[in-house]
Amino acid sequence: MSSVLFFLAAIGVITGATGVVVLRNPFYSVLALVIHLVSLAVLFLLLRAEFVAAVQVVVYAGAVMVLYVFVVAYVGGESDSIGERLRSRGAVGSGLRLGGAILGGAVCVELLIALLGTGLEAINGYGAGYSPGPQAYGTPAYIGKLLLTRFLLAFEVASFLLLIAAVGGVVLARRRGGLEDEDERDLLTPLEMLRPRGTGTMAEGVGRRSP
Amino acid sequence: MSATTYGWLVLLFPLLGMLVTALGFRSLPGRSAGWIATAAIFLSFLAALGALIKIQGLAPEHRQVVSSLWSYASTVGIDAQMSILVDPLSVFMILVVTGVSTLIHLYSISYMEGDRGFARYFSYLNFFVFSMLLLVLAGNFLLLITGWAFVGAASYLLISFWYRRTTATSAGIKAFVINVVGDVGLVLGTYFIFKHTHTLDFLKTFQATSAGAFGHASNEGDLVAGCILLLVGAFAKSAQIPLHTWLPDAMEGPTPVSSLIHAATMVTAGVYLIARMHPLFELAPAAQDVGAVVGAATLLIAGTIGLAQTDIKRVIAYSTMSQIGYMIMGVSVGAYAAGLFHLMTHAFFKALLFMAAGSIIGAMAGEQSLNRMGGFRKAMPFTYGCFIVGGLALSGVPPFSGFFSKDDILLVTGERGGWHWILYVAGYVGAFLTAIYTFRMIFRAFHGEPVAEARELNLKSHPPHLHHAEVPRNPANGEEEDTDVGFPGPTHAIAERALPMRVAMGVLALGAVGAGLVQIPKVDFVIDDFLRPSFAGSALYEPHTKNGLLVFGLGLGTVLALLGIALAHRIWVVRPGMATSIRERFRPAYVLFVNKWYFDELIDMLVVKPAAAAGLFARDTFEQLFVDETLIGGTTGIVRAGSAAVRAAQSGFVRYYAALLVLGVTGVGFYFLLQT
Amino acid sequence: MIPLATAHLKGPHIDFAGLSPLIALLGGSVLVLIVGLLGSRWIRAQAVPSLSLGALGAALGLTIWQWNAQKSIVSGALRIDDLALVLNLVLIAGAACTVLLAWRSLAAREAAHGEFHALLLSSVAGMSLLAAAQNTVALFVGLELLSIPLYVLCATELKREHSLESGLKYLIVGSVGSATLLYGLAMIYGATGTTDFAGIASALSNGSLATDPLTLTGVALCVAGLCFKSSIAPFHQWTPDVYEGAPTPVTAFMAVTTKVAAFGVFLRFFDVALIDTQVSWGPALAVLATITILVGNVGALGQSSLKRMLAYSSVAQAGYMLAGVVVSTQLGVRATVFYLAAYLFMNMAAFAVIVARERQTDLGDSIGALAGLGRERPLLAWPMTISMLALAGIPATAGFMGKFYLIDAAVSGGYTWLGVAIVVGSMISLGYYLPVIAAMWMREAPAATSPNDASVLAPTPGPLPALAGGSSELDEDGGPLSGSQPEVLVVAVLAGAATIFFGVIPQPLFDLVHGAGSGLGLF
Repeated sequence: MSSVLFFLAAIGVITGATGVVVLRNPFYSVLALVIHLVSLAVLFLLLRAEFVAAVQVVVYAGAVMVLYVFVVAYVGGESDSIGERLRSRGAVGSGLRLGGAILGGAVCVELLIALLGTGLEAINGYGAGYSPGPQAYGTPAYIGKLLLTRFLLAFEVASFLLLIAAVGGVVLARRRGGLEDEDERDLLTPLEMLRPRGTGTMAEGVGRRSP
Repeated sequence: MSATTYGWLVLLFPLLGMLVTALGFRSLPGRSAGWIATAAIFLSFLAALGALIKIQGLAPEHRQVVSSLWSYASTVGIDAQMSILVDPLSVFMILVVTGVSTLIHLYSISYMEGDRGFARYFSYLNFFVFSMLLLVLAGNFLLLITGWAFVGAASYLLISFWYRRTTATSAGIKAFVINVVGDVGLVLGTYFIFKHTHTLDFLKTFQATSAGAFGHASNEGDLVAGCILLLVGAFAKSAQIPLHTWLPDAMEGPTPVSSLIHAATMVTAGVYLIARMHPLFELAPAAQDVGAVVGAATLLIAGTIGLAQTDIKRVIAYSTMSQIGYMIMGVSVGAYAAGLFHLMTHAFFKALLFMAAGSIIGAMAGEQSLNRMGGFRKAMPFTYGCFIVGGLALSGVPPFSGFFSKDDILLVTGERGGWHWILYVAGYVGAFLTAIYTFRMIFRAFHGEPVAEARELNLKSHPPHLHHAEVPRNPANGEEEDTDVGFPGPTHAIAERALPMRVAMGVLALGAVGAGLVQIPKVDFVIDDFLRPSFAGSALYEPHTKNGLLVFGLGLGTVLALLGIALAHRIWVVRPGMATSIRERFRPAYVLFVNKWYFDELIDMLVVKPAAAAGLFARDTFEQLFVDETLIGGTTGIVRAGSAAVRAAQSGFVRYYAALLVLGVTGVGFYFLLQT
Repeated sequence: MIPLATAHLKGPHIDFAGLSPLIALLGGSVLVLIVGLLGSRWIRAQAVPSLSLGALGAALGLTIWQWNAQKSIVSGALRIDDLALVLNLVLIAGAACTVLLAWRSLAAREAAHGEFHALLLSSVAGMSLLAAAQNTVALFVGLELLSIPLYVLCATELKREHSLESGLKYLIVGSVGSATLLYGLAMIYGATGTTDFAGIASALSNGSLATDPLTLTGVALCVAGLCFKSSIAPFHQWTPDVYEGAPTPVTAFMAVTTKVAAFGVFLRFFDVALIDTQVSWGPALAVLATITILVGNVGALGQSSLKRMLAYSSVAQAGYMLAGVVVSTQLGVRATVFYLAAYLFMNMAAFAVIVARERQTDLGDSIGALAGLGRERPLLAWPMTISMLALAGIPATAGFMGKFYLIDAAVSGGYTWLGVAIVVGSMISLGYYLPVIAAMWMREAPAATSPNDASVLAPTPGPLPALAGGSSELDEDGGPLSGSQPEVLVVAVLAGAATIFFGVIPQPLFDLVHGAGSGLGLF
């Protein structure tokens, strides 16, 4: 049973990850990422890491992905201009893609060698037995305890990291000075630089900004 | 303040003076740069006096004081300290250096008055004195080498001070190149010594040496090699054969610079070095013998060349070589106190002679040839007096200072016995030659028919017209010059009309007369006693014993000096035609002397020509084909290609970076997997 | 039901004294964030930087207070020893210089002063954490706390396209680097079963674990990840673009302090946790160092942008410093730390001059902006000259002592050829350092150097800076800044003076770094 589940989930993980890269439509890419993350959560469950699995679903597949979907929808999910520009590079672009694939394959092989070739016995076995209970390895209680004792510093610093990341986000999202017009301020997000004008944003759709 | 604090002050003042005059050359009004520089050296002299008083206040066995300001790098196997060694030897040296330099600075204020590079001149001058003080105060080899190299650089700057004169610049280059030969010798010698003692500090080196760092037998190979290499450094700085050829050429610099190089700074460095390193040299008698023989040879050869030269400054220059030969010989045979005593007296009378010569050259509007001089005795009585005093001291006529110091050296040499008698005889022959060429110079410049310049001075016209040629010319090769920066200025100073020059010369004349009295055999031993703590471990530092030799030597010295003067008087004053007939009769010798024993030509043939030929060959074949095209072209080509490759990889696109990044990860991962 | 109420948990002992410098930095970060919200323009522009300096000063004082401490704090997350404290000093000095350079900068104004300095301080805190971290979790969190504010700081000249591009590039490449490192750390954890450096070391010391493919691949990924952060070739590619695009004070900050933190990790992680795999990573890092030295020096040739040139030069310098890591001896540690300190002075002097010239001329950071500086503004020209000579390793500068020390470490550690590579690299480096000096002292100043003239004279030299949106006419504050900037001058002169001082009297610095090598348990 668990073997079947593993292979199903593994297929989901790899397909999802491939889909993120291969699909041209950002919207589909995001959806593929969701598949990837959910399958990953299943793998975590198989490893008896319930907490991580739950976090994976709730935080990534839930919150973060929803945010991605909204962002993609907002800045123009239909557009495949990035892909267009890449493709327009012709030979160089395809060479790069081929080289990237080869190199990626090489890294993959290396990692496989590392993981399969290791002399560690635990990797070949089934690992520790499952022991339910609040103090068992991998449970929320156990992780919580670790975070408040052994990794207290990392925990606290990570909280600060989130704060400062939020500050950074605000800094980038806001433009100060120079532009008085409130409306224009909304248009010129940092993402602007990725996108030439007239590429079909919602702002253009409602006529706020002409191409 | 302790003795070492005074030692640091001695170094500080010239450094400050140099910086102030160098940085303030625009804003310093009038001739103030000269006064500032002079004051700096004078303060340094006062600090040296302070050091003297302090060091005399210590018990004799504690008179070697080391002070380290900071350690430069004591981490990586080298104990490089910023340290000075204050002991009687270094105090003696700084007193001589600062004292005489102060007077030379004072003299220069008048002498260089009309020069456009006035502030630059004094900045260089202060730097020169600073370098020399650093050299003599250094407490370790590192600072010694630094000071040594600084002195070489300063001499280059000052010899080519009139940098638009081709002769001056080539003389500067010559001095610099030969000095670098010496520097290399010094550095290599230091290496040989450091290899065994593992310390750069002087006192620790001496301790290690006496503790047997080189083994206990004398003349151990590395020590002799090290000492001989040190001697190469000393010979180059002190203009000993065969590294002496820069010294006469160095006369291209302004006359006070010649005075500074010859009397107070530079050339005495070699004597100091041998005296400072005496614990090493005494364990390497072979090196000592080399020093003594070269010193003796130099004093003879320089004396003979001095007989035939016609340039007044060059005659004095060869006399310096000769006198330094005495000193080198002295400190090499163990006559440390005598050698340093002669160094001091020589500093007085040689500075005096140069200053007096400068005064005549001023009167001659830059002309230096004895052939064109004559009859200045009446026109320039003060200069004449100074010249006579200096000349008598140089010739070793009692009771002038040179008499006592020279005979002291020869006495100790004679007492060593054995083959040192050859040196003893050479020394007295040299003394005889000295008397002849010195008074030949005096008689030719001051006696005889007054030349036009002298007559003009006699007329007492005011203001005197001391600038004769309409277009100034280089006296060495007759090239036309102007009086702007880089050439001598339009005015020429003579001592009779410039108070600072008179003061400087007067003080030096007193020194030239009286300085010998500090150490009269059988009467007082001031120098001997003062220097004894520095030579505490020396086996050769002995008081004089053989009375018979002493009396004989003093008598012989007096007789030879007077004989030489009498001979010169007879040849150049009483029977003016005699010089020509002697010259004709000893034509081969004369040609040899006037061509300076062909040392320039010899070096040219043995070193310069082969080197030039090799260089030419190397340039045409080796360098062009191999170095230029293959090595340089190849290297720059590789670097350029690399640069192009790096730029090509730096496309600015993140995706390329990502590709390279994955490549890097793959490579690193592959390497690590190979390690399993 | 899980009886949570009865769960009995004893928190770890927290040594607040040891943690105090970090607390000062993070607290200062929050404080300036709040003060930055105040209305008055004066408070924002003057009080906020002053407060940042205050926080850095407090951290400095607390670091010195902790001097000679030897302790692990907060359940072994951090190690407070001489290495951490010395690196802290360098970091704080670098950050203080950055605050001064950014005092009147466009970047701080555009990003809002409070936010700018909060990001800066938290980045310093991350570096300080990284230099002291002794388990892999703290290491990674420290790395992120270092990186994330930096990504934003790079983009703080919001209206300049290059600045945004720089931030984005740094974000992408840096994230890849972080991910690589994390993967490596995970593998090492998988192999050894522990996150503590000491635990990893003891796990690797017995048995065949040190040559296990899993361990070594983990080490490989860690090498790659850390090489990203310290811009070691071939992971250096982001460096020139990011350095050039970022606001100059931020570039100065990145160039100096990121290196300090990254090499702190290199020293602690590789020389403590992974010391038993030294036979594997030593030669690898040595080869990478050689490649880095060559690529950095060769790439810097002929660059016309000073920041780009300094970026490549920093790549090369990272290669030099890696030599001290490779040999994994106490001498190597000392040499690396010494060089980091020297590197701080050399680079700060150069960047301060670039900042000053960017504000005085229209030429930005191009080498032409320095033309004729020697005659016009000797107080700027001298620090730049000293800095260039020091970076090239001319004697009597701190750079020479640093290189000498590194070469000594490399040679005595058995990597003579690495020492040769350093020398060859220094020789090539003269090819791009000397033209800077030549430009300052031998070239005539361009006709329009003062901003007032520049606006009158047409055509203006060089193209207008490209702006990401908005027009140049509207950006009153986008142009050159007139007026005096004493704080920039102070940084330049002090850093230049320190470069000379520690070149002539290096002993204090030798003494300072002496303890740094002894805490790691190396030979």
